[in-house]
Amino acid sequence: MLSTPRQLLMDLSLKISSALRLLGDNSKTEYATYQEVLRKVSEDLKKDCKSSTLIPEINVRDGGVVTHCHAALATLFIESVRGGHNASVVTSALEDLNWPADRLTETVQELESNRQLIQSRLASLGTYPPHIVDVDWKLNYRVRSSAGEEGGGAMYLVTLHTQEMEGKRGKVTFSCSLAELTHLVTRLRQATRCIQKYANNS
Amino acid sequence: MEEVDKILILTLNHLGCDIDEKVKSVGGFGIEEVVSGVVRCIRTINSDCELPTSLPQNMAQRFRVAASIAQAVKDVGYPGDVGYQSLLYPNETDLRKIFMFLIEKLPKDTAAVSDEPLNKAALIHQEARRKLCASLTQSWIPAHCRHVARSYATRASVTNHGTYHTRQFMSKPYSSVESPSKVSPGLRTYYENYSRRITKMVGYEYLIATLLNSHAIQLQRDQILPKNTEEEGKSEAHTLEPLVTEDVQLNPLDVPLSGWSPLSSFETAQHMIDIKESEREVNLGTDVSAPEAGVTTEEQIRLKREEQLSRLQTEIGNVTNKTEECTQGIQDAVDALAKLTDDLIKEERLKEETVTELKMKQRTSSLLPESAANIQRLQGALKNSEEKMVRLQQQWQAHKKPLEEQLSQLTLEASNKKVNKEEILAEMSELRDKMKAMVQDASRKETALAQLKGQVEKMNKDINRSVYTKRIIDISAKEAANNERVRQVYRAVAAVHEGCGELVDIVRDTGTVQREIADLREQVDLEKSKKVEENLTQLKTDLNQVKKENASLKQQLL
Amino acid sequence: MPLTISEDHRHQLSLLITQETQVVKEFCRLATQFLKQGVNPRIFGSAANKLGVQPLQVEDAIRALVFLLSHCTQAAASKMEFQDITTSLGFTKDAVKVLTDAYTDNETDIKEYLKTMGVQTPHYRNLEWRFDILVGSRTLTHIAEPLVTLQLSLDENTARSFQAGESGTGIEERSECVKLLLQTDPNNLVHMTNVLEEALHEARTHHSRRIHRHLK
Repeated sequence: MLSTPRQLLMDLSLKISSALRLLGDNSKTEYATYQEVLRKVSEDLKKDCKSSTLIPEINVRDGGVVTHCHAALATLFIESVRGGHNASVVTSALEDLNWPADRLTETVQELESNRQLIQSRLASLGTYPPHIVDVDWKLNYRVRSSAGEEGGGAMYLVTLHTQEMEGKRGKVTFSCSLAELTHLVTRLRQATRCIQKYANNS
Repeated sequence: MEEVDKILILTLNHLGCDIDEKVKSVGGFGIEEVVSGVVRCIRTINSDCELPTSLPQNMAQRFRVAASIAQAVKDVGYPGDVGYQSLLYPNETDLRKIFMFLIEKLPKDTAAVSDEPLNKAALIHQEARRKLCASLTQSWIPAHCRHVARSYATRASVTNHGTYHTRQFMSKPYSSVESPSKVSPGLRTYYENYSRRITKMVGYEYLIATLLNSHAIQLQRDQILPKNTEEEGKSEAHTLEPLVTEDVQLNPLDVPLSGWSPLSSFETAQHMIDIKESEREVNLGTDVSAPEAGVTTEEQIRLKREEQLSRLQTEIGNVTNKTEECTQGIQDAVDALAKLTDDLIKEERLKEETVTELKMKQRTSSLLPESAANIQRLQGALKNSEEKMVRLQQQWQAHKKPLEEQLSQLTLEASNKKVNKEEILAEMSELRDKMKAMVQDASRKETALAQLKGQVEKMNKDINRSVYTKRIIDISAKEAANNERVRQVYRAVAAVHEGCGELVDIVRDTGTVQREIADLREQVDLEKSKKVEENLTQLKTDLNQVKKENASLKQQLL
Repeated sequence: MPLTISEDHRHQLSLLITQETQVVKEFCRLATQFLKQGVNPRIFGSAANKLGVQPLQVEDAIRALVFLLSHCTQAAASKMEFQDITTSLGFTKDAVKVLTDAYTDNETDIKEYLKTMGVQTPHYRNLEWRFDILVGSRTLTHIAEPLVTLQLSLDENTARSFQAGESGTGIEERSECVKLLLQTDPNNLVHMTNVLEEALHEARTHHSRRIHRHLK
């Protein structure tokens, strides 16, 4: 994540804004309700989707305000991490929604303490091509085949091991002659040199 | 040396040292300057360095820190001897060597990077470079180990951890719950008693994607349908409404079905009649055919079939007509529906407007009875916002001030650099002139040399001078043997020759002694420049200080 | 490997035994053409017309001839052995000469053809790379992830397949170039380069060279 914030304003929809306004309003939302919302948002965003064995809650019904504001606050958390908005940007956004100082400080603190985790979760959403993680090779000599082919010479069998999303694994196997492997290695070396040059060219 | 020191001091100030303008050479550095200069250099060379830029007060700690700084200098690759004494009791020559070495080692373009504020692309490149370096220096680990490493990492990154853990951006349909205060009482009861959190509705897996998606949809709708549009915007809003599929409250059940029901019942009734008719016909057919079964000719059957055929055709015609009618009816109903929906929306809008107006009026009227207090409250609010304004202005000033200062400083630096540059240019031209003069001189000397060489060669051809002298002396000796007076003269000449030789020797010795004296003087100066005595006294006081500290520590222990 | 010609093939070839040398030569030409790019079925018809036989018989004869040529190449039969076989099949001396010429002239083509019949693995063709910096995504802006995108081109040689039926009898070569889009991170790129360089090095070791010399 780049360190400097460049966007100084947060874009929130009218619906989210009004829900957050409601959540921050001392006269309309009790402090206990607000706390419950904050706790649940933080819990829900922290929970790892794979390890989440749904723990049955005693109080399943959250009440209208909680459900209404929960989604809005969670959206605020996610959007501020997504857009790289730092604490001061979030603070000013909540100030604009007339949040009292105590709730504001508490919420921003909670957001900052979870920022890295939310960021990790956001980073792991997306589609990527198969990612090469390892390579195997075999050197074969073709001696004789059913087709009567003879003395094909040295042949490499290269296997690229890949990983894809959601823990899928794959591999790509192909054969190549010594000359072709040299070509392949030359290409790879080019790429390696390119990135090394980029890294050292600071 | 002065030039070198000037550059050294300039560079150190660039790195953030605060060296006084009065200090002109490295010899004038105090311990503070030495330590801060060396540490800042090392920090710039190696960003991991965590040495302090100033020494602590406690003497023992001072020595330890100085020793670790010296070690850091060695680690950077300084070839000479360096220890805590080089920092605490510095001598000019060594110090200059150390600084020259460190400044040589500084990364080349740090000045450029730190001078100008980074733009977006530069930031991206910097970050990418950092990640790339980290990735390249890291040793390779098998994928499954990397996966384990990821689960402990605070930041998941594709560069470091691959895509094994990534998931597709998949969201579930979710429309956010309305604020309970805004919905109808029936719905409100439902919301308050039965509504569930989004997490429960879509599951943890889809939480983030769903929220992002629904927020994006909401933002888009906000853009298309600004809430407080004026009258003219209305028609546009109407045509655009169907675009937003998710939240438009067009529940088909709410639309009155008045157009539909008579039509459909009429149709069913008609259909029922048709069915009955055909049934009766079939019954009739069987009734008729039973008694006449024996005499029915093929002709009759054909006629009957034709009759049936024509009847069926007319029936088909009827049905087609009816279908057309029905289609027309449907069309009409749909039109009516659209009109009604429009009306409804218009009505609702009107209602909303009236309600807001009403609310406004109510509020105004409620303000009337306690107008004084309310006015005060409003004034209070006004004051608050003014205060906020002031605060913001202060913040702005606070932001502005350092930046302005930086600007002026940078301008100053730039002008300084310019002056420097001009000086250097002038010096360069001067040097060039000198060089030219020297080249001329050299060529002149070369020609002279050639000439002299020629002469020497010529001379070599001549008979050696010593041969002449020898012959003269021999002749003289012969003469001397002959003549007493001449012998005396010869003796005197010999004595003079001897005396001259002695004189030459003495002169040579004097020269040597004088040279030695000069050497010794230089050495003395050098030793003096090392401030040995001063450093020794400083060392003694430091030792006493340490002893004192140790004693006090001992006392504390006892 | 003992060279045996099945009864069926003998029967199918018998059509040629009685023909003129010129006809045998024409059939040899058709057989080699058959190997290379397939033959239009109409040619079977016209040939059959000329010889006064069924088109199917002509086709069978050509197939049998193709089998004879490829089978002998497969078994690496010498010129002499081939002559012996054709003579044993009952061809005249001239016909044997024509057949032997066809066998020796087209040896490389037949070998090439046989090669495509064997075990096939996708074959390396090319690799293109691109150094990317991922700077943002739908879920996260303000990032900078250096990644390397690779495009691996492989030849998937799905041999040659016989297409039977009226649509055209012949052999069709399908050499498909498959392009795979892959990605890797700098660390793994370096690893991959190192491992494959090692592989290249292996071919130059003493052990490999000895085997190479031995098997050549």
